[in-house]
Amino acid sequence: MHRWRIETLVLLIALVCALLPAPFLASWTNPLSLIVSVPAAPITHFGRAARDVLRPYQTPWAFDAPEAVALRSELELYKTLYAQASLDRELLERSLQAMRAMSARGGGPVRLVECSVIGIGLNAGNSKDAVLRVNAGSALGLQAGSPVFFDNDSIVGLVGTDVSSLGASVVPAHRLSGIAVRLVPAQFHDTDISRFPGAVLRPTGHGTWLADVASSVELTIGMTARLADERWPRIALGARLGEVIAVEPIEQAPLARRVEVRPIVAAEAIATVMIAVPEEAQ
Amino acid sequence: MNWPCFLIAALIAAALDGSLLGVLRVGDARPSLLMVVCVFVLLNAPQRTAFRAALVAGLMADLLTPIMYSDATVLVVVGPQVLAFALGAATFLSFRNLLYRKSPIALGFGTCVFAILVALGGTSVFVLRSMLGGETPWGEAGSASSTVLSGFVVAGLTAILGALVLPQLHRTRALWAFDSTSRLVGGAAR
Repeated sequence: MHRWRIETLVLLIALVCALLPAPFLASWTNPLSLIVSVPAAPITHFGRAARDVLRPYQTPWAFDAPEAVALRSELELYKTLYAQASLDRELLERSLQAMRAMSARGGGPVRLVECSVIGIGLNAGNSKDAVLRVNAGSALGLQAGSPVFFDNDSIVGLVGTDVSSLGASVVPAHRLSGIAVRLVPAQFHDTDISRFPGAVLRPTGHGTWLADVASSVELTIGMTARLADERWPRIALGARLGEVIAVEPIEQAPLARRVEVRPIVAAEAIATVMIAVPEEAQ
Repeated sequence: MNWPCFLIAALIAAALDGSLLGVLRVGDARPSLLMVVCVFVLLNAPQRTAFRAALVAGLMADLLTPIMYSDATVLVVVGPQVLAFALGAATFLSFRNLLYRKSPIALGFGTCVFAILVALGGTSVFVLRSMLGGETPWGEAGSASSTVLSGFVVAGLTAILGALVLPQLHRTRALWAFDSTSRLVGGAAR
């Protein structure tokens, strides 16, 4: 132990230095480190150059750097623009499909006015009996009785009588009575629906219709009720109005059946509609 | 031992540790050529000389690996690596005669043990320092355990480097002038 006195002393000094607070160290250890690193500098530079050639370090990406923040905000902006463009494209595609569906049904020159539902006027506090308010009116050629569509060729209702220059009300189809329809299979997409059984819908007051059908054709749940009422504008004929949700026999008339139809569009839940306006009304 | 030769070799090794050996990094860990040079001296030099050389190597490691703060300032803490190298050297010297020095596997094993003890020793000193409110290399985000784990990876990489480099260093023994002569005691020859 006596022979290792110097080494023990060095270790004790090292322990004391290792535990000294920073203010007692920085004043002399940092300059000492610089002195030692000076002769090593050429080798260090050579080594770093060789390392950068052989296997470069990835530049650390500072998350809070101004450039990174600017890039992130630009990314968010372009994401927003992209989402907006996608929505616009969807709207345009829907308009295009609606136009195609309209032109397939014929009925003279019409113009489609796309408008937003800006309010629901509740009657008796029941949203299913609501009258929709849209942000288009006579200034765009809307007239009372113009058919209102949603999603290609589904009928929402008719434009009501209170049409102002900038707004109009829409009476949902399920509040209208005596609508003549034809019940066609859901997969049937042709325009000629005259061979299918007809029915006249009458509202139940619960947001659906009932109709008695006297036909030997098999009626099934899921069939589509397509408009076949000559009182409606021709452009609307053949459009989808509802979906059969129940088929029941009628005891008094064994060959007839009673069907319950619900609107194919939940009027109170839609945001945009298309209104067909006669071209001359503009 | 030829001290200038050792100092130059240790300086070159320490400089390469912080630069070229980055090509061999695994994660944040990279092998240490300075430890290999230290093990070479521990294998060949007389015990006391080897221990002193380890202290010098530890001091060099301390001086060339400052603690980096987030605001780009540095602090050089002298001592932890000196104590760590001393722990490694004391242990290594106790079993160095058991190592078969011509076997790269044995040399790699010895280097690995030395490096593990250096990692444990250095981290222990910094843990003690942190308990007294001092600065540590791992800062607030890291931990002593992750530093020890990283030290084990360093030990593995250094062991591989040692197995490759120590046989080559062995060829330069003449330059180092290790004192391998035995003291002759007067008396009748037996």
